[in-house]
Amino acid sequence: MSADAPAVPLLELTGLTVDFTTEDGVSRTLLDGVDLSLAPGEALGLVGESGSGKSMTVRAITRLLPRAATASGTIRFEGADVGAMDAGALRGYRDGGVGLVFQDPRAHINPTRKIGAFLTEALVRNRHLGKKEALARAEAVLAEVGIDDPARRLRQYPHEVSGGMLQRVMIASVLLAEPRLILADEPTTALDVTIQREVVGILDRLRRDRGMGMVFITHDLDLALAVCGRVAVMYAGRIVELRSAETLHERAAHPYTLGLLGSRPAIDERSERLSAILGRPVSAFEAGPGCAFAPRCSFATETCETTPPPLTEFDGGLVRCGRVEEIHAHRKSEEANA
Amino acid sequence: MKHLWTRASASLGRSGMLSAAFLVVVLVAAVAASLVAPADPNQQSLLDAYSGPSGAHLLGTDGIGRDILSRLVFGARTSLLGPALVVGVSLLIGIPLALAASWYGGWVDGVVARVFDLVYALPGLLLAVLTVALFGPGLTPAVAALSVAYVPFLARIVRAAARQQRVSPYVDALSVQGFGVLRISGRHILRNIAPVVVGQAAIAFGYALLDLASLSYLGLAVQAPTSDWGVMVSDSDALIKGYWLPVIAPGVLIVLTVLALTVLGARISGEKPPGYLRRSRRAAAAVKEKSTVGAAA
Amino acid sequence: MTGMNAVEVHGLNKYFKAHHAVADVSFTVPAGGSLGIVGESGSGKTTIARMLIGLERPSSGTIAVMGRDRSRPARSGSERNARARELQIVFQDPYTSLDPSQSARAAVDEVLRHHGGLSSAERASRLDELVDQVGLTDRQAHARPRDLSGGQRQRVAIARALAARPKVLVLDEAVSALDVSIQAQILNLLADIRAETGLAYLLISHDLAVVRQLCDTVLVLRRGRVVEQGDCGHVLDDPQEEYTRALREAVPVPGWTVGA
Repeated sequence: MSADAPAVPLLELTGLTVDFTTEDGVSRTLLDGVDLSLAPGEALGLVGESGSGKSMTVRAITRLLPRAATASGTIRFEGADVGAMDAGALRGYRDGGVGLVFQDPRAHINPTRKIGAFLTEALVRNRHLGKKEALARAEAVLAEVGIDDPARRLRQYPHEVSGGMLQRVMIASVLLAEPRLILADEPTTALDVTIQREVVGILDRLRRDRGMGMVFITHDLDLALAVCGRVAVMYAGRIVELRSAETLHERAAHPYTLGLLGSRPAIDERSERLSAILGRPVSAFEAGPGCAFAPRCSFATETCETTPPPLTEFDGGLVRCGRVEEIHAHRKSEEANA
Repeated sequence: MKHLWTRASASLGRSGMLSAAFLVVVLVAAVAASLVAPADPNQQSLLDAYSGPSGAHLLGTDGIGRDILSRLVFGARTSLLGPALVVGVSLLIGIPLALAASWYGGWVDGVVARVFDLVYALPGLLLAVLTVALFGPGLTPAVAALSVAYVPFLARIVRAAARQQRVSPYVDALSVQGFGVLRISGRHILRNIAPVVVGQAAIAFGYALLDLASLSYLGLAVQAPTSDWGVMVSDSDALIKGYWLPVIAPGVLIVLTVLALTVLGARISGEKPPGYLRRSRRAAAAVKEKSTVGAAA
Repeated sequence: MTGMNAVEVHGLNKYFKAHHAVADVSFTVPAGGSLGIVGESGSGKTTIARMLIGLERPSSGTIAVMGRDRSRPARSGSERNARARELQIVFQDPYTSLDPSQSARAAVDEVLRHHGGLSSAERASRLDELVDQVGLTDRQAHARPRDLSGGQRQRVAIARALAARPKVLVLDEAVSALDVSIQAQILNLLADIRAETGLAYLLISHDLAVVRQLCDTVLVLRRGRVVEQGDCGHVLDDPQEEYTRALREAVPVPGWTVGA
């Protein structure tokens, strides 16, 4: 994607498509031709609303799709085709290649076992470490994610600690496998804002310290901009805009990105009226033949409804909009008049 | 009509639809017995005793020459009426208790739950035998005893389902609107748990049919010469003489009816057939969730 | 009646066994005003909402809405109904706050019937008015909740809450579960409704930006206690308390850099 990316990206998605077959045998597209590339150590944000396909992308990357879903296109991790991996290679990929941080740690940590047992299970089973050594490592990693008195935490049960603490435990468990890529799926959505800030800070610091890549999935565009170097905005199973976090606020060009930016109320001033986008977000299979966003877009023409626009370079980023130049010129002239 | 058919077959599945069809046939036969039955069920003809299946008697005759098919058809009346009464009375007692327990919680719930547990621990048949011992044999005492015995079987399910609804925000919203317990519990909650109640009632109906047939078999409920499946199964004279059809035919009917009720009940309550489909169904539901009406928000 | 407050809460306390969930909280909402109650989990904000709507009984303190005390459970059906016509609530989760077997029209109509005083023709026109006011199409108004999206369901919940023409609307995280673009629609809708009807709002939220958008005054709550309260702009732009500042700074904004 960007010119200075190394020859072998950490993660590369080409034409990633996910179809879901319902019980009536109807095939429904959830993800439609996603191209993405991530350099080692890079943080990329995936932002979108319901149906955008952001979580499905993560599931596809880890090959954790529901049984009724099939993926096509290619996923390459450090050059290796993830889709072609056999059971052994897949195990290695999931244990040490990618690590997954979920939204709700309580749902992903066995409530009947102590935190220590949860953290050391993989080390003992897969890495054949002694119990003592595994516990020592777990303790060190807990300290690294900013948990006080880690030795005591190891002896506690998940229900004895707060949600924010448990999310750190989850992050620690991912770190223990020393992954090169972290996939964080709405890791702070269930947390209070002050805890969110801490958890996001920890993720960011660890990523830098360890040189890990990160795909950060969130519905919160501002959060993604704060955490990531580049941000991909998804709509109806497609990427509609991709650009650097620094420039997104000023240079956002896709009408949907602009709409998202206008939808969020500001913390420092009350706006007379939020520039809400009409209608509701749709999934890929609900989209028409043309631009999926066209029915909600105030700039849409008949062509938009019928012809799917490609993802093209614009103003230093990638934008999937057939009228991007006209819209850009229109907005500039409006700004000049104002 | 076609719409209703597709919806029913979608939610009941093939086994549920088959069960429903069978039950409809039995029910129609019971209601229209005098039209359906080929002969008078009590018409004796000693000359024809224990005749095998023939053109005149499709399922043959019993020891005193009564047409078995006709007795089965008329027997469906008493055989279905008894369980219907048991389930009806049980629901009348159980639903208000269960709704009250789930609504008020606390000690009300505690007392009701303990009473249910206590009654549940008593075998229904034992209770019925004791009642018959006190009041003499007959359908009424047997039905009365089983009605009480079946209350927990129905009401425990109602209570559990109603408790789930009770903590739903929509119930809070209704009570903030000023609606009282009768309206919210008796209308909103009951309507939303109706599939569970109907499903459990169907299963209870099957069990009650079996229990009443057993009691009739023992001569404690329906009395001969009234035609009843349970009474017919108890025709030991036929077995001794080596004629199995008069006994097997009502027995098979009982088994099929109970089976159909159980299957149908489970399907109505929303129990899915076991197996690998479950996961993909849930995922499919998640996908369906996305497709909603219209464009605006 | 002049200058009467829509909501007056004094010295409110709530204990759950030894846990002091709400500690000496006082606030007022003027008629037609809009107060945001901000706090993180465990702040007691939801408990306050539940006491306001009568689902939880205060341990001590008084709550009055439109001058009528509601610190104790209603003694009669008519008192319950009178309270219902003064204050209504919209809950957070649009998936569980509607009766799944009722269409929007049926749900709203039931409320209109319950509070009475309308002929069937008047009721029908009020129904149309409400459906229109919250921006539902006729088809959506006839659909069951399961065929509606989250935003559409929240519109139904708002219509139902407005049906009895209450003077105060409690919004308990009412936009938190919605997609960003839908959240903006509902926030605009709520602003419009307030401008049209002069309804007072009491918004319970963890989201400072949402509070700023919808409220005149704000109350910051932490572990059941009031940390800071006052004019929304003042408190958020110039927080006097350390905790308010921390909340303010934890909101990711453009240029927010991660630091921990």
